Amino acid sequence: MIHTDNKANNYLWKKRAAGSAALLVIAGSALAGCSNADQKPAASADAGSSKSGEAITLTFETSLYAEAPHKKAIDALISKYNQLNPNVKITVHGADYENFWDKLTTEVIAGTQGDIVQVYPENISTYNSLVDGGAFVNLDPYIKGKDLEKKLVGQELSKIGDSYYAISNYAWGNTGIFYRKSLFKKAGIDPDSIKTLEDFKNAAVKLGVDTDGDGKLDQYGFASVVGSHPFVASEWYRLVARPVSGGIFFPDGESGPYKADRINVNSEANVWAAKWWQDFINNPRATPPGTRDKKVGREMFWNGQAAMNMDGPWFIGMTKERDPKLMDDLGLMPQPAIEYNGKTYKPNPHTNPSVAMISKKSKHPEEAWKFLEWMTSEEAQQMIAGSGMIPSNKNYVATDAYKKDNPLAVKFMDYLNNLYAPAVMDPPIPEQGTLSQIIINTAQDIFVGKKDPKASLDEAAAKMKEAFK
Amino acid sequence: MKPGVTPLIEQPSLWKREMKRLKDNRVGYLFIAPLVISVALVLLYPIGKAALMSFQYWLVTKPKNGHPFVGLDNYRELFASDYFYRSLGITFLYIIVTVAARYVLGLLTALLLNKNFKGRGLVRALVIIPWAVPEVVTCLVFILMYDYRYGVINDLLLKMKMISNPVAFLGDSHTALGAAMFVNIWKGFPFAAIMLLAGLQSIPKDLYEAATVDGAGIWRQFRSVTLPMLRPVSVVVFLLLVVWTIKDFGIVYVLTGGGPSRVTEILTIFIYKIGFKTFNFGVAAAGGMILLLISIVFTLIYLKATKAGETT
Amino acid sequence: MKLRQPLIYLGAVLISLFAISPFVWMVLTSMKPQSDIYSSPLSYFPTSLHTGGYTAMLNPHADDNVNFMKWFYNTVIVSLLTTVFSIVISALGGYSMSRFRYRGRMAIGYLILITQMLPGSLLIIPLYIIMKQYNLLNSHFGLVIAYSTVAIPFCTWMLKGYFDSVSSSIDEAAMVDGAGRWRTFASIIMPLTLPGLVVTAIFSFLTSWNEFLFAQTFLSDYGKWTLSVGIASFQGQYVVNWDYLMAGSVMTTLPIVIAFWALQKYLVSGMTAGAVK
Repeated sequence: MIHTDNKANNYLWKKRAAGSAALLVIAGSALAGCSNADQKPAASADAGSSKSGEAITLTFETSLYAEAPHKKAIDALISKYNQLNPNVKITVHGADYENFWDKLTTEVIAGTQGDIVQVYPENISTYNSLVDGGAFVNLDPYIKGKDLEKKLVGQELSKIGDSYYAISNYAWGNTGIFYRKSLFKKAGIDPDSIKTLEDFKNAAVKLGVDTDGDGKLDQYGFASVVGSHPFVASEWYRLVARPVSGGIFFPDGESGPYKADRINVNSEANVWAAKWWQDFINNPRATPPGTRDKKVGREMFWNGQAAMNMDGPWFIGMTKERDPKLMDDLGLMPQPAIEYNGKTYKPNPHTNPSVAMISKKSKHPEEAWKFLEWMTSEEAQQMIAGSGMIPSNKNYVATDAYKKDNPLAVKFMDYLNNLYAPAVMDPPIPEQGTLSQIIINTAQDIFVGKKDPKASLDEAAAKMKEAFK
Repeated sequence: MKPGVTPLIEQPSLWKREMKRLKDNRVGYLFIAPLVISVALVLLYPIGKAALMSFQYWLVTKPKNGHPFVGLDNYRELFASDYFYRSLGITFLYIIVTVAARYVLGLLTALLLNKNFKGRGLVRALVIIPWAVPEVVTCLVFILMYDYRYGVINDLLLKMKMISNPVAFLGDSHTALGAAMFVNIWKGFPFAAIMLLAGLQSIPKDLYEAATVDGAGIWRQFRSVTLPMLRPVSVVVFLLLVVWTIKDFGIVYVLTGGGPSRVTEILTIFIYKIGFKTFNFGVAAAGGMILLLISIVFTLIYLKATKAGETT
Repeated sequence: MKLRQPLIYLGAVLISLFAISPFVWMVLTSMKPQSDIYSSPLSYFPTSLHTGGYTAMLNPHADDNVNFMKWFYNTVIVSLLTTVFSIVISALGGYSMSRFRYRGRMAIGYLILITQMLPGSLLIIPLYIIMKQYNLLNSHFGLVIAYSTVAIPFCTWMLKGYFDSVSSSIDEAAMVDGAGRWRTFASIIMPLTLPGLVVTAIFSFLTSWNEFLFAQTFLSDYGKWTLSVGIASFQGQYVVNWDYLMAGSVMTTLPIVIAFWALQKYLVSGMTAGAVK
């Protein structure tokens, strides 16, 4: 095919070199052009372009919009607010949950995030720090010293250092243990008798039954995740590890100072918790093997193949949607307290509030704030209740009307106030992304790969310390 | 290659070629200009930027007054990680198995679909299905089919007594990589099949007739007509299969997220996590450059070996 | 010869089964109520026919969350434009690389290959920034530009391969007859490489039809979404709407299959006997 002698070959290479050089010049100039353009202050592509001068457009960016109940609640909020303030138009931007965060990262780095961005408290510091000087507005002037500071569940978590960067104006949910009343009855277990982790385990084992007598188990105690899903770590540390150790990353409720020598992941209590969970999760009666993710676990619960499931208030609405008949069989109890080394520890699950930040790039931060503040009002909170989570305004949730309509959800409020230890969240530090990855991988090693808990956690601690170098 | 089958006629004499080149060059540049301009305007900046980032400080959660140059620090950090090498190994295995399988399966399918038989049009349309199903959906339906408890694959294998207990295909570190490869092969073989089929169709029929007259059997026809004539297309298809698989991400990520215990963590997932999960885009960019380097080295060796870059 | 026919049919059946069985599972799943999907023992066929997914896709008022027809329309437009753009540009480029002998043509060929080698997760942020500079975010045109430039390098190499397999004596003969380069290219060579053009068109069309990362990152307005983004949104944080997801996917896939069925006859040889020697 090719007739090349050395000379021709040389010629060819020379030509190539010349061509590459020419292209590099083009590339270089293109790059220069672009990086010059980079220096210009970025104008939000979609915010604030208005014709009438009066009208204002705000963009509201949220990961929740892909969920039908949240979409309904958010749409209702926006149309009501637009009715009250005809000059303010709010458009929602969102993506499905799995991809929302990467998209947000890209936008914040490019400076195109929405005027309002809804996240969870542990995301605030990360996303704010993605650009020099911070990407979001310090909300202290609006919140500090006002009643907002006190009346909103999760407001105290919405801080970077001592300043508020988000308002907890939407809703929250912590977790409890849902159970099937009928299965408990059949097994002769009184749900009220389950107080401690050991009670919980004994019940779970007892609920693992071969119902059709074919020699194989087909009903299990507790649907927990055993796979590559991140829940394989979080169910462990939310249910067992954090209550006894005070923190999976740092002690005393994941509190600072965040230094390498305070890494807590391989503390005695955490190792004990990992061993306990490893035994539990590998007991075929207690937990079904091969449950890939939370979705499958929930299905097993609804099918009656799993008697217990750890979940939040949103699970009530999901169950209702799945089959209204299930509601009569749906019971709820608090997460168990834990006895360890002769002491009893209160459970302390996440509170998970959805909180809102205002972008520094926003052209209408005042208008954005007005909307956010309005969301805490009673009329707005009532719409938010439809999302299935618990509205964040404590005063609203305390009203009889709310209590009457949401008997199960109110229980979560009760647990929070009376049974659970103060809520704990992931440390708000730049290294948190790395720490989370380490804990997920380690949890897979221990609970799926069945590796030795002590050795694995020691290794995790070494890696975490390295992240602080 | 046999002279009788080469598509190229005798080359015109050198001076004639030179003359033509001079006259033609301007037209040639004109023809390729839109391509150069569009690629330069859209893709050169991102690639140049990624290259630049690999030498800069880009741990965005710990801002350091812009993005100062850090020399080779990002690369050093990458090379210091044991998982980088593990990930490299997984990536090579993943590439070798899936590319070979997709190419061979694609070639067999193309040869079959090149034959005349009743219902060929339908079979051709059915074969394109895996390619036409959106990737996210492909992964979700395989997650469903692979499921330990509710998966049809386990159900069938159990019924056929090929296994005695269900297998958590994606959750077990022994099976996860294989299960992910299978999905990749299923999704990817129609591309190879259709491209090679078009290549087969471009082969003039009279070449086969001539070969038959010469007394060549099917196998000889395949070796002396089909394979050489398919080469220009085949070389490109194979090359791009490799290059694309090196940067493949979506299928494995959605199926396993790189787990369990990182056994399916191919390089792109490793890099993605460094970037989007730990926010160190500098190290991620360095990883990307390593990927790029692997691709370039492979491409140069491959094109040199096949001489595809210098045809005609 | 007689023995080969059954073998061919056997092969055809096997390969079809391999290709369609997951799709069949999708179709079955799309018609199952959620309780059938997670039932044990597993039910292969729907216990009762559930059409909720299809209704939601086809009737724009059935569910506010779904605007399937709009997404479908967006996707068709974007994919068609991408196909036209990339075929025109890469046919010209491929022909140039195959037929001309100017400096640096292979260098260009190699350089455009490099654009195929970086993972999307790395390209996405700089690409997003440059799209922002061009003011092409949240626009279908921007998406077309991005898709085209991503598809062009492959299409160019592919078409170069096809042009290479057509003897340049044909060009010369045409030019001796008085046709210019352009006419030779457009009316003589292009028709001869029809299978190549068809497959590269299929490639660029399908690439944009299914692309997810760029569409998801560049498009913010829900009404501007493409099918892959819309369908992915049926997978929530808490549940998967299997009926929506599968119905949407079946309806995304089927038009492609039907179109391909109709188009595959153009995958025949562009070379009539005797045209090349």
